[in-house]
Amino acid sequence: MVKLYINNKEVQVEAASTLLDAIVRAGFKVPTLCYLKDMFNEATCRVCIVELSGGRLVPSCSYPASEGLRVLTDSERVLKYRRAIVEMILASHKIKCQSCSMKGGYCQLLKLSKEFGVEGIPVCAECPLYGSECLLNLGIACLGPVTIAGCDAICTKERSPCIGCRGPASPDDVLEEGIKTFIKYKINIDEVVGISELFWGSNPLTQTIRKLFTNLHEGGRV
Amino acid sequence: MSIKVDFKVDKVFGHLELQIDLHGDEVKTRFVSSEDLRYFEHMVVGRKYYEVPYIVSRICGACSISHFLTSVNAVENALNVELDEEVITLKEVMHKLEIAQNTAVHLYFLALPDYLKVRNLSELMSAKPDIVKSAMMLNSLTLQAVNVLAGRIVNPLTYRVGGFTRGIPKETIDRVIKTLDRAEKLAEALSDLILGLDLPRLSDSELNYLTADPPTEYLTIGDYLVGSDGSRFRGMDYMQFISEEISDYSTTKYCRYRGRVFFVGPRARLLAFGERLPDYAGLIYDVRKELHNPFSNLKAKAVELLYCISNSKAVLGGLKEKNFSAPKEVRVRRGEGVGIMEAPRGLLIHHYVINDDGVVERSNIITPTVMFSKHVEVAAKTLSEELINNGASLNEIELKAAMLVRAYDPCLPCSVHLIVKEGDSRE
Ligand code: SF4
Ligand code: SF4
Repeated sequence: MVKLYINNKEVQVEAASTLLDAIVRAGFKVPTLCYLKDMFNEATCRVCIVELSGGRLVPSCSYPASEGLRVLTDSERVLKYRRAIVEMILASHKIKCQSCSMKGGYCQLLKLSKEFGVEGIPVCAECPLYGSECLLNLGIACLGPVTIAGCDAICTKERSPCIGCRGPASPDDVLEEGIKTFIKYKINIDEVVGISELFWGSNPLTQTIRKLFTNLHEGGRV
Repeated sequence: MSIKVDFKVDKVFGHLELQIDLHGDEVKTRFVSSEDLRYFEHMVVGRKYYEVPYIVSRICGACSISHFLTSVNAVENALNVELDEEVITLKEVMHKLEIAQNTAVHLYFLALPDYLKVRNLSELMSAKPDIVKSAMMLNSLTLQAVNVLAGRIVNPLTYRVGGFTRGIPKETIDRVIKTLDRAEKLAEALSDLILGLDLPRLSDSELNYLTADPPTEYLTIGDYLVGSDGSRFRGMDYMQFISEEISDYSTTKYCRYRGRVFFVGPRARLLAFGERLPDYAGLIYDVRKELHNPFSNLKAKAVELLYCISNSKAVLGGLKEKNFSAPKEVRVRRGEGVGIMEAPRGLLIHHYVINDDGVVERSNIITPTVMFSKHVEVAAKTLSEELINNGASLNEIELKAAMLVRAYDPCLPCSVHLIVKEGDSRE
């Protein structure tokens, strides 16, 4: 057995344990994405980072617990870097929420991005409507594919279209993916732009949508 | 003699100033709103028909459901959408629940403090904590019920032009009924309190009113209006009867009904259709005797609170097994439609002209406060004349006049999106 301190709380774990085991034993939480207990702890996503007493940041899912170690799970530094990690993951993540099987409240990345206020995931990720139920499939111009998530998709949960009240999901590739979705479902882009103007006003992104649409549609890249 | 009492009226929605001036023998009163213009009627022009209800429900946070449904009705009338009986019924329940919630908040927090001799909510809290507690409870229970039917407590999500977006499971309806059971008890206590109040005495010198004609019972959705002069006309023809005026001192418009000052609201509804309500132990009979007094709007509200909750419960009980299918397919075509409904504060009119592409070309919205604002002036004039003759102090005039205004429960932010400036392109 080894004895260590998680957020100043003393905890004992077996010699071969990881920091994550000790953190859970001590009753604290750190977020994880790639970690799967007893199956995968390669620390590729790194959102589970924690701070050691010397100031080092290490991934808790793979770092071994050792005698006398002092660990902070949510120090200012940890939170700052964890946020940056979420941002980077999101930047390299292909946003295809509309058809993702983790949509409807199961997406862990969405949970993290909400927690850290990192934008980039569209409402579709939170929407429980799939395939034939999706409002786009009924010919209704739903702004879910291009609007920032975070509202729990309350409108589409009630089967009313998203009208974009939270603002545009700004990274261009997210918008692009959203517009591909509109094209796929043959939604009139004028309607989309029209509705987006309601809450986004003169935000240049409303025009970006139109431009992207023209490029994607006429460039034949769909 | 010359007296001047200008004051901001608190405990109303929005910013309102009441001016009372006595010069020689004549008292002049003015209902002055200093709210900024909000241009909602212009915002909907150029928008698709299905967006309009979402936009205009934002006119008012307190009665968003009324604005939403009135707008939906106007659009559905314009596009000739035929609705199923149950859809209309559920719309009505949603609407009645909103009236109940609004009424509770107004009576408890805006009207009652005057009669309990406290100035505001925080004083009420220390003087009568129990009342504040039950007020909070009643507000939250009615909101819970609204939340289930409308999808959230403001700006409904469960309805698209053509019908409800989803059914409500039986268990959910049962839950709402249970919630309303609890609300009913609190509502009874509140009504008792309000109905027992000794209202300031005032006789209405302009007992003209206008109200929507409910096809059945009370507060149901119809297409006709009735006036105190006995006339009954289609909502579509409202322009022949109701005229709108702009004043040079206020940002709200004023309305006249056939050239006369009139009022709308619970008092008007009770005067016109009170006999259709179940008489809660002779209580309606008593209230109706007092309805010539503008202050009695409070008592009319108390009666409506009871009715709205018990009726919603009964109607929902009848709906139990039913479920709603998706909204009706809407055929876009050119059309003109008027929606009329009784919002919590009185008659509400939405009017749209829609073109072949389903885009709104023209719109007009008249809110209850716009309709009764002139009537407030007249009643305040009568009141202050009486008070001045009786040698009342300026403080007393101010207090009584403010109480009078609060009895009407004006909503200023709703009333100011209507002015058309000179040179405006709209006809
Ligand atoms: S209904 Fe709207 S939010 Fe839901 S999946 Fe479809 S497009 Fe996305
Ligand atoms: S309109 Fe607003 S609340 Fe509704 S789904 Fe879209 S972003 Fe969420």
